[in-house]
Amino acid sequence: MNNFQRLEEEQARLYDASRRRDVQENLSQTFGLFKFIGQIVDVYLPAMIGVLVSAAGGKGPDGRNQGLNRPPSEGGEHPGKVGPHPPNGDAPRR
Amino acid sequence: MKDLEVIHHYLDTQASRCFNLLYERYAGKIYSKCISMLKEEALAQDATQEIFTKIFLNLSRFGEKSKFSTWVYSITYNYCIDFLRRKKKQKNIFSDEMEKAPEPVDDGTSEKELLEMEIGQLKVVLDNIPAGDRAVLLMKYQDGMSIKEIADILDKTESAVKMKIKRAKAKAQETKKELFKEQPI
Repeated sequence: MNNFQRLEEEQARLYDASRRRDVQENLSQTFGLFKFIGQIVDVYLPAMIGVLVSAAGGKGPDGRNQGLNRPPSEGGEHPGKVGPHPPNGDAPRR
Repeated sequence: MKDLEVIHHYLDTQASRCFNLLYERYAGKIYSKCISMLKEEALAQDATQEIFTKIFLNLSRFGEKSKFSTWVYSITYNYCIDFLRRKKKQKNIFSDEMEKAPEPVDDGTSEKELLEMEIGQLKVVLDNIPAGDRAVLLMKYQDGMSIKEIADILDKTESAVKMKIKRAKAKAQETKKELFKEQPI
């Protein structure tokens, strides 16, 4: 070990426990914030893009033209039979 | 656990345990380099925080072409150099008058004297030479980097780095003579 490296060790000792803890806490907060922003972007960005595309009259992710998707009462196509299918045969007896 | 294992585990899991481990290993060394470069404890503390943020945000870009420590120190030196450049509003702290100075004579004794300089004197000498000279001397003698590694960090040619180190050593010797004139017995 030369004197440059001894000087490094000496100066590293100035980085005491209190400084170490302060910086570590600040970094944890910063990364926590970044993670939170990342999660928000992950969840909401695709939905926001979908809304913007729909508003502009483009097709949504399922390929349908969102702008023309009207209810049947306004002249849109009826989606057909909806709701749960009836069970086949009789319900099992107890 | 080796650095690379910790990095891979961190990238896979984002576990704070890995972050803490790397922080414990490198915080002191980064702080020491920041103190040497920036000369103020408060600035060095802020710089350490900023450098760690950069390291962790860019961890996935670490290409494993060099040692992790070399990559960490390259971020550290570049941060400090940029900071000093902004502070002085100087375009390039490596293009000072020394670039045009004549090549110093290196008889091999300057390196020996430099490495054997008493720690207190070495600190004062480093504080009184230009930041660019300080940076190359620290990279070479403190971190044991090769000329190629230094050239990559500073984006200079290897011959320019060799010249820079030679001039930095001469400058350090000169500064030592000026600051610590030998007392007559």
